[in-house]
Amino acid sequence: MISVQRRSGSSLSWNVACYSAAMICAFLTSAALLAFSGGDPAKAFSALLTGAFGSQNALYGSLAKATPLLLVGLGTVIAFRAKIWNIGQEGQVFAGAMAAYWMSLWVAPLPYWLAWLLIAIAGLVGGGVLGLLAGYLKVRFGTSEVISTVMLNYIVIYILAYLLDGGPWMESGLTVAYHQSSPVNPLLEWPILLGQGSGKMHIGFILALAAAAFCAVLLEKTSLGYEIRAFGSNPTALRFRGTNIRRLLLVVMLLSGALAGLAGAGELFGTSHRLRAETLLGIGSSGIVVAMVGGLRPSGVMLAALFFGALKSGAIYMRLKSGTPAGLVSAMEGLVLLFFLCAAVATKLQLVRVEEKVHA
Amino acid sequence: MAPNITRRAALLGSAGAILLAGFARTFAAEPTKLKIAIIMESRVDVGWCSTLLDSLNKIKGEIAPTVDLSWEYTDPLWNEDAENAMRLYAESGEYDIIWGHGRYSDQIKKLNTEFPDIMFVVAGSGNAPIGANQYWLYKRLHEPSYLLGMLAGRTTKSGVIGLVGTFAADDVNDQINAYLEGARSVRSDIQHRVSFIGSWSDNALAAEHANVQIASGADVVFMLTDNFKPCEEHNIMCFANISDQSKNAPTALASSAVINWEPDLKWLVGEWQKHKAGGQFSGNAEPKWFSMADGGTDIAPFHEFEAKLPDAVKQEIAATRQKILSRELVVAVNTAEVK
Repeated sequence: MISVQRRSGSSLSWNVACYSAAMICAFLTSAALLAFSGGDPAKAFSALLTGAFGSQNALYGSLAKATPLLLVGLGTVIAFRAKIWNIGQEGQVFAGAMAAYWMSLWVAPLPYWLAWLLIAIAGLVGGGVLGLLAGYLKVRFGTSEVISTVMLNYIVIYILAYLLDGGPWMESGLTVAYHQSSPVNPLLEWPILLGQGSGKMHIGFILALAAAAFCAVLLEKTSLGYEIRAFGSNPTALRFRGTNIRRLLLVVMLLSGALAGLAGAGELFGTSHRLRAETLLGIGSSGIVVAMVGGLRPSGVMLAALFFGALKSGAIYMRLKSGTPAGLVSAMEGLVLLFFLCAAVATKLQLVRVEEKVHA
Repeated sequence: MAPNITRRAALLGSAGAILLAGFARTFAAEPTKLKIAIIMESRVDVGWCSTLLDSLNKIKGEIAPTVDLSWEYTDPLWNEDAENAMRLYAESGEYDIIWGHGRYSDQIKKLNTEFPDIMFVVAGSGNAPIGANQYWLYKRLHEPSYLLGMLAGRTTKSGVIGLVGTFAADDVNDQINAYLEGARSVRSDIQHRVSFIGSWSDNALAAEHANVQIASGADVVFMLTDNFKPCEEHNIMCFANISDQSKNAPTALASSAVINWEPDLKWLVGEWQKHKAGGQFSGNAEPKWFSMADGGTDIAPFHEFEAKLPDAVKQEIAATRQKILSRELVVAVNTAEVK
């Protein structure tokens, strides 16, 4: 008789098998959806791959799309490894972009490198402060971070709506009364490192890689990282060890929010160049998906961010070349998440042959 | 005396006629192919987009002798995705016009000099005056809104009329001001309730705003958003805009201020033909709009309200419409925000 039991350790080959199976299942169900909606799965997937990796520019475009997802995903890893359920990444991305935009209004006369640095720091601070606020509400009043972060999302988005709809940041000009700022000062745009046309990779990607290295070292090699992981597995033991839990919680929320905020700043100054809610919407939630698919490990998040970045980048090509409905791309992302979560559970289990007792 | 036509002459004549027809067909100018790629800002069932597709279908046959018009359109795309889609279309070399049906001049600014032989088109407010090969279409619905305002002024019992707007944008304010002006042209003591939901598509919020206005006495509401449920639930008369939305709420929607893109399309086709004949693109820096007299806008039929509205009111609306069409009555464009 075969029985399913909890696995005591981890097996690399079993993990690879589980996640490969998840990937295959996700693509097969996506293909079924495509076929069901009247599309040609082979044509669609071929277009997707061409759009994501078919040329140098396509590759740079995929890396650019991966950049904010990687940063938000890393922030999510820090919080979720401590089992602190920060789901306010959406608002933190907005707060980072808003703080960076505010900073850009002041720093134009400074040398470029200093202005650029201050804008990046403002992004970190904007997202970090919002995370810290949710953390403060938790340690001071015991407010669930799930509720406070979600509510803060709304608050930040509506503050931006006020600022851009008749407020001080609204673009002035002919026929303009929309939710958007004027374009950012072109002198303050983040430098494009590689690519041109539709595939431009800005310096934010390097910052995201640096952040991934920082998170990996933080979580695995530092005492703070140990405390974060320990808080996630046994907070009571950590408390008895003498760790200042309140401080730890605040630091985690600060770091988590700061990384999301940097993603917002990068998206504004590296890609969209105009503060507008619709360019930032969805980055936070996609980043959470990336963190989950990446198994809450920095290396996994890097791979997941590249995968989802490529999916987003190739999706346009797929939509135009194969006529795939827009909703199907989101459905594919959802399917990947679903199967990867199943795979994550499966990696912790094993199949064991159990001999049936023979009754005399 | 009847002409004496021999059998040989008849055969020769027939053959000549057939040959002549063949030559005529061969040498007649073939219609020029014109292919448009359209980047949609919203779903195609939303009035802003559906009216464009309707107009394209209408003019296709009309211009068929000279232009073989075809088009493709996308799902809603914005920002970088829109730019990438435009680039894909441009690089394919298959399209003569790339049409961003909304606020896309940011994207076009990055492409238009790279593809100088492609005509780029944007529509609506929020765009920038790039000129060159970017053409900027605009829609002003103030004239049909004036007529709807007259209808509201004539039919309100409470003397309070409402408007639920999206944003206090230039091309929303003009409709609101004209609507109120129309209402006050027939009843000077009209009071109004105006609110903006701060979204183009939040129908739930639109319903909340409409309910509040109705609760505060409005018994005719101009819904510049797409939710007419409150009108049906409170059994009050409402109006819509952009497209004829009567089918969505036939018992509540008396009429709509509607957009026609035919004059815009014909103008653009003409501009494109000039370029094709060797001329330079000369995209307009000022937004270009076509009035009711030009065929750019109108009011929709009354549908179920045809039988409900008093004849005198309908006649008054029809007469005023004729005055606008003949340019005897000029409805001013007032884009000031109404509080």
